[in-house]
Amino acid sequence: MDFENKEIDVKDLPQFSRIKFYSLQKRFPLIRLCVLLVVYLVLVIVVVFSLTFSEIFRVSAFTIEGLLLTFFILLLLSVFAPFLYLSTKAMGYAVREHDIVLKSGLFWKKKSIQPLARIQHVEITCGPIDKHFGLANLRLFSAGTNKSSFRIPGIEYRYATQIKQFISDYQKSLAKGRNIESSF
Amino acid sequence: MTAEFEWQRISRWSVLYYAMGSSGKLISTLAGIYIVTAFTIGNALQYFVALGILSALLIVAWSAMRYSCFRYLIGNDSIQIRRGIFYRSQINMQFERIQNITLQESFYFRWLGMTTMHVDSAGAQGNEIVLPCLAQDIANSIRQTILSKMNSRSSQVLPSIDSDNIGSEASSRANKDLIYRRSIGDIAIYGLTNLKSLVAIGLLIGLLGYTPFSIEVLMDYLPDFVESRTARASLFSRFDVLIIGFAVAVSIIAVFSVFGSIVKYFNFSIYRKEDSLLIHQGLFHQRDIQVRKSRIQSIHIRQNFLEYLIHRVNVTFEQIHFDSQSGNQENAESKIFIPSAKSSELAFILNEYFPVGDISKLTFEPANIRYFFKQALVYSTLYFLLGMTLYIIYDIRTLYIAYILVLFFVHIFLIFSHWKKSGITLKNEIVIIRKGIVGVEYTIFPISKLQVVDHIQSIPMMRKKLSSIVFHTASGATRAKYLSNEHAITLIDYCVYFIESNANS
Repeated sequence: MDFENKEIDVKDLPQFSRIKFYSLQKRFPLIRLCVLLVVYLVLVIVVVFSLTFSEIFRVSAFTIEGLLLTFFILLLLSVFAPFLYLSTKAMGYAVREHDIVLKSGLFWKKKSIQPLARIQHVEITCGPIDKHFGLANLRLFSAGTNKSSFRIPGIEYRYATQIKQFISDYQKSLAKGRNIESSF
Repeated sequence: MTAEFEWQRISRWSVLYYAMGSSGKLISTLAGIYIVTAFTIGNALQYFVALGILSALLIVAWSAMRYSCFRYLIGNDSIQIRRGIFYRSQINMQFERIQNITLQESFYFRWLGMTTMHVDSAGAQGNEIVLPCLAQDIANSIRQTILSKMNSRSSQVLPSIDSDNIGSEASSRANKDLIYRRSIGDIAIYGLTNLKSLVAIGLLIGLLGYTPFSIEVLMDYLPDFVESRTARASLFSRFDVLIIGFAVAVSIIAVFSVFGSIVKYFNFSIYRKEDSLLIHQGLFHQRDIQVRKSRIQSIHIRQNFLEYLIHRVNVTFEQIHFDSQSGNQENAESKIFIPSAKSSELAFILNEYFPVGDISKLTFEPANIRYFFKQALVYSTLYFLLGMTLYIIYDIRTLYIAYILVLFFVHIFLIFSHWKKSGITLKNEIVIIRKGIVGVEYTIFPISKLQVVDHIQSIPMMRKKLSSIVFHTASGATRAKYLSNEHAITLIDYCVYFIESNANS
């Protein structure tokens, strides 16, 4: 029986810190920002409508507390919009031979490594806006709680299907490898 | 026999299936709103009936749309579905990953001879494929097709579910080796040491007497005693109120806690059989839980301050949790709990699953001291703001500021103790994460159980070359904080390499 037990130099291990990441689709951060601005617009319409037709709302809105609350809400919303845009721009992904790595976060930078061998199944989802722009969300499910779910938003639909096919082929080859071993 | 490799539609009766699924929630929601509004607005039954009819029509329309958008395909090596009305999704589940195939017969479809198939992969809700309203013969045929195309593991799928179905039939304890047992004394000790949160409540009740916010409350219960004590200005004269309140609260709760523990863990025993462990416990409701060793994802060792004093620990084995046939498996049944184990017995218990030897003697890579500084800064700010608020707004006397200062220094000491205990190590391809405040706590899992690994850095951490790691197993996530960048990256690279190079095993 051939048996080897060579020492592994950790410096020779594949290093995730040197991965080159692909950004999400170029327009996706802007699309997200536009969706948020549409939500803001709806909120503004609701507020204007309430101010116009509701006496109680109008009176309470122009008190000191009402104005302070309005100021804080506006501040929050005006900070959130650029934050959403920049954090979406900061996202990226990389596909390696045996895993997929997702980079995210603006102030807390996170890199999540999902080994392909641990993926239970793959899901591609498209909302109506995604469909219009030819985009998709790729969700990878591993075993366990929903916290293990791995989501890549805003990639082109064709890339999503290609990655899904790549994962499927990888798992087929794994399954073949196990069948060969178990036959001995 | 369903044609393979073609997208299939489900039966039109699935509209009824989807509608029944939504109607339960609708009825309970409407009933709740009606009950609430009946006491405020008055009887508006006719409006609710109209609302109910409108909602029912919407549900039927929505269900019909769901039916029309649903397709499934039994491929050569996977089952695929397409679903969703506005958010279209395509799920591809390899046969290799299927853990459960369940056929469920709802009472309203029995007369039609129809069944619903649930195909589940390991773990989470949401990882399930549901094919509603299949004819019995089609459902059986699909199930046979899937099983025949799965690998050698397929023979273990359904039978292993029955044997691992926690809390179901009691398994025989004959012909199994007894390897561990807890006496009534041990269980009673657990009942007492489990008081930690209740001790805190008792302390709080006692401390309430010293705040200006609730003097009136205490005086209602102990009017003469408290009135005489609170009239004095001396700090030490109030200790008797604290001590008596504390002792009474803890004594009452201790009795209930011990009794409850004995009822739950009476005659706690662990038996070994081949690759499984059988746990027996319970006084009135006896439970036999059989767990395959391979299903254990991680082990958690917990020790609060009371257990630290008497050298006891609580050990929890976490396993993959997924829905049983009923779909309502309790979260508690995904954990196996050993109460009040002696610290000296820990190595023996651990070696049944993960051979790490005596973990108290291992060398851990510590968390950087900046972790302590960060926590101390955050809480110092909070205490400062609290003190200033109380002093300025409520005109609190200096005496209470002294109390807050004492509490602050105690808290800082506990943060320091928590930092000193934080660390991580790797032994025999098993990751061990240590933490704790007074007692020491460990989380232990083999690298082979990892599902996802996260590397996290904030901007200040990047400047100081520090990182945190989050390890995800099928039973949950564990974090190792403020490690040196070099160590964290090396550890992650090694864990990922180990998983991927051993993927065939």
